[in-house]
Amino acid sequence: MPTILVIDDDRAIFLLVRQALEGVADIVTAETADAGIKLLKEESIDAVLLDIMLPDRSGMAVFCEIQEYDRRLPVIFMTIEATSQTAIEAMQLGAFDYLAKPLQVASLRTLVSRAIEQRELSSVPVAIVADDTPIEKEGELFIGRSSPMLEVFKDIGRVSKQHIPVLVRGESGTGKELVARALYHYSDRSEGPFLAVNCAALPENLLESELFGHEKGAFTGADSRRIGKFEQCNGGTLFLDEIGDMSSMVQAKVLRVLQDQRFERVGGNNELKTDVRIVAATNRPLEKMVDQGDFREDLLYRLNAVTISLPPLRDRSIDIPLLIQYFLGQAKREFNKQDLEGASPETVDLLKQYPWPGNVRQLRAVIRRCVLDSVLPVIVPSVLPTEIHRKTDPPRDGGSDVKTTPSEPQDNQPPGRESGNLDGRNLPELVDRLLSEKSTDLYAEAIAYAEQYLLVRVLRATDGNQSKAAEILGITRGKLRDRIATYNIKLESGVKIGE
Amino acid sequence: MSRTRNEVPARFGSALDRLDGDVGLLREMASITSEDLPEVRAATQRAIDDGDCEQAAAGLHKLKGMLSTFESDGVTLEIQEILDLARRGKIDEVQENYQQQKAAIDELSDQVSELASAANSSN
Repeated sequence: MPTILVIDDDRAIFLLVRQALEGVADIVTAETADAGIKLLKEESIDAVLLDIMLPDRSGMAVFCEIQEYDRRLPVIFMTIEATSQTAIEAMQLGAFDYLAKPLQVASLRTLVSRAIEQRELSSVPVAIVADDTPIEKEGELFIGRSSPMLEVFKDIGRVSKQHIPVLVRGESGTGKELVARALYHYSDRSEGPFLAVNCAALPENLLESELFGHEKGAFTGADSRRIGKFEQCNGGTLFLDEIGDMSSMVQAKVLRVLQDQRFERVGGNNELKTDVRIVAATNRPLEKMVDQGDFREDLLYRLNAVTISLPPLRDRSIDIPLLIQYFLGQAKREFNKQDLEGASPETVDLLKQYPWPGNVRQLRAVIRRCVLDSVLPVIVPSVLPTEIHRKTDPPRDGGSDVKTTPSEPQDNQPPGRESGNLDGRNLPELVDRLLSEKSTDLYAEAIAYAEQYLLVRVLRATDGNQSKAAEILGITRGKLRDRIATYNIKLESGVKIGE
Repeated sequence: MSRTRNEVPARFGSALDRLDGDVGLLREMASITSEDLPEVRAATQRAIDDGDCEQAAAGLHKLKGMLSTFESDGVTLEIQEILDLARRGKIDEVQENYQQQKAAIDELSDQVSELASAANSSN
């Protein structure tokens, strides 16, 4: 049976703890800090319950001595003067948890059981060490030895010095911008600027102005001349992310720059010349969009003279341990968690089994969250987000941010989406649930929910008329069509989801 | 002998809830506390009389901890007020306030002792 050391100068607490933990743990007790530290060194202790105020010195000082002796030992502070300040201080020091007196039997039992479990799980050599040597300059893109990634590295080497456009394809979170930066870094243009524009983030007119600039008075609100990214980036590399979300008008202007490096500012007559290398990225099916008339064929051919395809993380699972190690080290330095030793074998196994729909970006977010949440030097499975434990196979739709609505309700389905009955009022409930599940994808899930509600609402208002809906929404028809397909919105006999 | 909530004074109802309704445990804790209380109270009184704020704060902290097992509001909140005064070095106010609360502390201590006696007689 595990052994709990209780250090407190109130003997009645010993009785309470002994009774509360009967059958869970053996108890050894000390009324002073000195006696407690002595016992710690003599006995095999699995967790400590420590009063913050002891007769011979403060519990905080004792905690530091315990940590020096055994950093993996969970220490639960107890105090009658429970204030936010002491709670914050205790947790900052690295306490496992904090209990306010008077103690409650049930919560004491639960907390100590959790501490014992974590002690057991963390009492093994770490499977992956959190290395805090400085990060290599190239960063996370170059972490990997899998064949698909070696191909990517070779492609980068082959084309980086060529002055040709490159199209980078891959699911959301695979690191498309990192490829663009690597192409820039290894090019002859590395002394010039590197600028990035997300084409999906701006409405058509703003994107046009962002890319090409505008003249004073070109439109309402154009109070002064603006220099666009193509002009700013002269001599450098411009990364156009989500290229598939550009309107046909912007596509035409971008094509012209690609063809002869010439353009005009919005509202301007002067033809400007620029020397920009374009690296574009998308996770949308451009060929299909060409067939549907939503993307210019000539632009596609100009862009994909060279295509670099980034594999999803599930297709390069042998790289996962290396990535975990890299992100652990990164988070250890960033959050100044000097005590962090690494991840336990069980944790690494779970991380390796997960399909990572959000790819490397999601893995990075999960590791950072674990490092922040872990109070022990070893990351054990209990600090992993619920979605990792579920071991479900989330939809592989080319992005972490979209959950296609199935015809059958799923466990991870946001509330209110069941049977196509999307109710926007369930957003707070969804956010609360994801928070409690320690989601690392909350933004994307909440936005996806809100987006579905918005699309269905507007499509219902227009009786399914997509042109009208696109106009009301302020997005292109192509984008609307894409979102309708993504969310499986059915337009016949009323607007429904996934039925 | 079966022990029920009815055997315990109403003011200890919350304490009993925290112990999952275990009357026997509450009584045994009362037994330990009533053994230790006189010494703690005497040390606290001595420190207050001597004008030693640091020792008074230590004594008041311990007193509050022991009594809060049985009642976490009422007089234990008053003890916290006096403890804060002691930490700020306001010995005059500590002496005055402690004197004012003495009867309430006596009353609670007596009831804890009564609980303890019941525990001892049933053993």
